[in-house]
Amino acid sequence: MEQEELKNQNNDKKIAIKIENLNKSYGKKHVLNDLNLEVYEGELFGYVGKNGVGKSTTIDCLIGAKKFDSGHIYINGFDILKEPFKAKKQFGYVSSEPTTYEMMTGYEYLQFIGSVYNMSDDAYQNNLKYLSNKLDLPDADLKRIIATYSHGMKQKLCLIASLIANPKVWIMDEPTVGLDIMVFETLKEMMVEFKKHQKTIFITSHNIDLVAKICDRVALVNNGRIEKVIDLNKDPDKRYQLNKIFLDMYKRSEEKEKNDDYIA
Amino acid sequence: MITLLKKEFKLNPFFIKPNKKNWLSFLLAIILIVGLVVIETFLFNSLYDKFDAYEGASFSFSVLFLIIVALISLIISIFYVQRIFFNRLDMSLTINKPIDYMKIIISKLIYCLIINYVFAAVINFPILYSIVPKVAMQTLLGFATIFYPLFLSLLNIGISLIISIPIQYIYRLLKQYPIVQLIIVALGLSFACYLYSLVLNLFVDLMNNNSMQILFSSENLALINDLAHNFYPYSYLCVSYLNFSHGVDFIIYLVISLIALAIGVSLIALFYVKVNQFEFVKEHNNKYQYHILKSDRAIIKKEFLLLFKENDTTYSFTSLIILQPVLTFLVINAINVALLRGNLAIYITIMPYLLNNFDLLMALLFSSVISLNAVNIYKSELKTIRVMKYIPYSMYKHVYIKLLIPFICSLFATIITFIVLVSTSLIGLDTFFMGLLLSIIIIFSLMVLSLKEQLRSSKFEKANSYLSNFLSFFIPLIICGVNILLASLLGWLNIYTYLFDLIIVFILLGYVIYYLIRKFKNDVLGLEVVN
Repeated sequence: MEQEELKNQNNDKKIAIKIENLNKSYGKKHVLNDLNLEVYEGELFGYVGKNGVGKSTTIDCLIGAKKFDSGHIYINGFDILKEPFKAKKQFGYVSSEPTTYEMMTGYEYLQFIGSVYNMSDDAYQNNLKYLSNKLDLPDADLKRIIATYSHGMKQKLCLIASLIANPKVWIMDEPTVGLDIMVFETLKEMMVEFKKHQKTIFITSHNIDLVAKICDRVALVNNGRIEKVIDLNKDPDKRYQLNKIFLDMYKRSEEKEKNDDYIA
Repeated sequence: MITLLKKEFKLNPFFIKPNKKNWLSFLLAIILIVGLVVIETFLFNSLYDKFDAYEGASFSFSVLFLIIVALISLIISIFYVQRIFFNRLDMSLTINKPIDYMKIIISKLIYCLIINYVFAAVINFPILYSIVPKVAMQTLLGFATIFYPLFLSLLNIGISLIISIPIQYIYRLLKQYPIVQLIIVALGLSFACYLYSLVLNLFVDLMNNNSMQILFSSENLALINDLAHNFYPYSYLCVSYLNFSHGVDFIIYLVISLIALAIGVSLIALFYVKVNQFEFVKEHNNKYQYHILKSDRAIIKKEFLLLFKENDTTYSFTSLIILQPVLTFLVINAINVALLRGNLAIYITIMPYLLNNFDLLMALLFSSVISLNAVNIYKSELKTIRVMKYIPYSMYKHVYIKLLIPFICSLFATIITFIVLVSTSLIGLDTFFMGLLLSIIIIFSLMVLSLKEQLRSSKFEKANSYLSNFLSFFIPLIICGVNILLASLLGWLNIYTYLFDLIIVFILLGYVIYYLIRKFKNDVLGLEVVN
């Protein structure tokens, strides 16, 4: 009922990410079960759930890193399977573990990313200057080999790489792991700024406080399905109750599972 | 402590129980070790008999041989002390656990001592037990032999620990300078090739039962005697072991070993964390890193960086393709000398095709084995498969570039190798043209097969290319084996046997082309990241 209501209200909004009946299994284990989701343009969307419920698998399918058994994924209207290049050009992506070519220098890695996104040299230089200043990764560090970076510096580099091509959608899987408090705050600012430009952010995080504070809507995932989508703008009180809602949902789910097992 | 020690054993691939997939590698490793020990023992016994004709020379020779074996064991121990003590992942996983810091170090030390003992026993026992019947006090010597590897290990591990810290600093400094790294590796391998050719020539002389008058000149005998008695501290151990009247030498050796071990352990205790967390920082002012490239060029540049700037490939593929011409020349030259000199020459007179086919076998083996090292996506792109998958660039094209760059590098190395072989008259023009053609087809086919195996692994993280690795040995062997068989049974001329070879490799190539056209795209698109 609640979701139906939300759907009607959001009918006029443009969809940035659309996931339809997504199914994914690893052998006999079903990780995603008919997952459906719509994320709107200009929205900061949180995707939360406990470990192993399929959050990272959803993101891996979303970015084209994993095959899926059935369903459809559209990013700004482009099907990730049928038009992968157009779809992939729409988003910038940050993984939970910084993933880069460690034998490259910071500059070489950003050059590589900028080049495969077919950026113009001017746009690349401007974005590079802005982002490296913003995330405090100076010239001297960018000239160094990435293998010599700390975890936090690698994550900063991945954040820069994800935005260097000026994407319309920013997909982040646990982006705050390993960031110091200064960068953490900057990242929050950047997300808000990104949203102001009518761009979309899709973020997973175990940091419920962060999600509650900055997101417009939050999806709670369990057993490979969206259990609940909460509009935090419409119901601001839920920003303060998100932790409780999260815990209650899993508690209920565990109890149900125990009962089912008992009956079986 | 026992748990920590168990962990060290579990991390060693050699102690992992062989399963269906790795039994072949396990078997090959065993065959290789047994083969080396047999050659070493044969060399020792043959030379011992020749030295025995000179007064006191056999004793000095035995001591010197044991010292050389001890040095080989030292070099090996330096390598695995580095691997065991300076494993960052291992340190980061254990250091934050409530485990006594010294227990971690002691467990690693015990593990190193056990491994060194086993290795030293494997390479020393056959020599030591062949000395026992030749000297006095045989029972005592036979008993003492059990402890010889232990005493040797004490010093080897002590020295390895002491020099491991400067080695780590130098290694990390060199990581910043890939060209210097490449030059050092190339020099090291050239030196190893030179040593190899020396040993091979010696082996050939022994096989031919040559008198080797040059080796037994009075100057050389004096030099061997000097080296054997003055190569401290190893001389102390080897001399006292073979002659029990030198008991003081043994005590001196034991004191030196224990001091070395104590210094080594103290240094590791002081620097273990510091060295594992240390990294040299250098700014790379390459002006080509600042501007945007065409997407294809960016991918090609990345592949070259993976091949030439990644440490693992620098030490394996890159340095080996640079040295492939020299290495192949040295080995084929030694084989030709062996086959054309002394007792073996008679076989070549009867079966002239043997020489051609042995040369061809070596050239094919070197090119196929070395080139296969390069197509290793799962090693070079293990984590970055994610990057390959999410960037807006054709995965299909990306993997093709990944295949073609090492192929082109291998192609150049192989062409140069064959030019060196033909220009030094080691092979004839017919072997040159056919060998080159066969090599190119085999290299390309095996690279594609290796890629296929990796792409089809259910868990990419554990992907391996056992079949292509096996074929890299098997195809050259089968080609040359069939050539020899055809030539000896049917008296076929080389040119016809080569045509037969072409049929074999074209069947392989046909399969590979079929795979590339029909199945490759699906396999590439089906590649998944592993969380």
